[in-house]
Amino acid sequence: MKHVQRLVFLLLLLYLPFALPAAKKRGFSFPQHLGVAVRQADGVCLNIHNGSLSAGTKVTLVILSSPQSVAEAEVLHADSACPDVDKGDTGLRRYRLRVLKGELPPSLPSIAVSGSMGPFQLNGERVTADVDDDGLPESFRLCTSSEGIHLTVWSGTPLSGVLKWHQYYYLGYDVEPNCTSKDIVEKHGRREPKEI
Amino acid sequence: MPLSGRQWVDLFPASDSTADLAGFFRGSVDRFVSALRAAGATVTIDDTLRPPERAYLMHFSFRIAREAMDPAIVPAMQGVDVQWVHLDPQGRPDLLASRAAAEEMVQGYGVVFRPALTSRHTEGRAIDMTIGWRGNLTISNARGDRTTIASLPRSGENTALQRVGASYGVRKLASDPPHWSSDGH
Repeated sequence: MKHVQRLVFLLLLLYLPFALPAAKKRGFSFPQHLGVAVRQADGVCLNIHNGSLSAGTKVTLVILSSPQSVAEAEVLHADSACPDVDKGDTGLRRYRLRVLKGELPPSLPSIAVSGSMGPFQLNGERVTADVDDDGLPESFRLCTSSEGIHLTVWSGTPLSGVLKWHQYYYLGYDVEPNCTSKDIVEKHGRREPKEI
Repeated sequence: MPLSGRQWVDLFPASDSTADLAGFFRGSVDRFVSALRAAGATVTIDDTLRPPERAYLMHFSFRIAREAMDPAIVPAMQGVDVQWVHLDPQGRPDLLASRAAAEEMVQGYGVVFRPALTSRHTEGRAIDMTIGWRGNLTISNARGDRTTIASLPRSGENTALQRVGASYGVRKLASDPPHWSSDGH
């Protein structure tokens, strides 16, 4: 009997490393941890569905040029003078950021991940990171609609994986659209991921 | 002919007035916006007409600066007296100076994707507006029938509101939350 108990204990020990990561960030909220940062003439601003980010909160910025890259920043303070990325999205809160490492290209929105996530790795042209710690790396994507861009995060490969997060960014000028129907999913009339 | 450069950026600004929309569409928008406001909704208008001259300047400055287009082959546009080709002291085309001036414009406009030359906005047949309300919205459609909208979201992305807008000839483009036009494009 003792042998069986010992075996069960050993099996539990072996299983633990796989079970822990999923439990570690149970309740992880993509909208509260992910936002959009952009560098304008007067500095870098963050729009995110989270009103409780404190000064000094670390933010990783995924720059969506080709190839993708990563920069690091920290929250300075809430700043209502920062422009709205989508005026119709009333839940967004705005913060001023300070870039600590790397450089943001001007006017190109990047996906901001708050808190200590990662590691962020470059696989070919794409950055990946297991931001929700579920064992599956997330990928980051940007596409254009008629006068805005759709920023998305996917578990797995963009467009074929599971859409985890979406944010619209209003450009204010007309561009050639290249988004697919998978980038823009309607939910109660609002384009949002099917599942989060 | 004035040379290209930063000084062009503030010319031909986009309008936020419905008075600058094309005739028939202006009437449609004004009636729809009046109905929204009469029903208690808030309507904030961003862009209506984006002048074709502005689109031309944005498009070709981007192509010269970021896509290596030869400034000498940019087609002229009536009403935009811009000289894309800068000359060196000997009077020869100066490609570097031409590109630098175009880049000044790109940065002044704040564009990072190639701007389109034509759109419903340049035709005066589109409007970007943010719409919101509290509780239920009871609004009249173009035939005068009143509809109460209790569904979510309380914004322009509400499909019931979009049906009301369509009755006025103002149609929603699904991919861009603030964008309405004469035909949904």
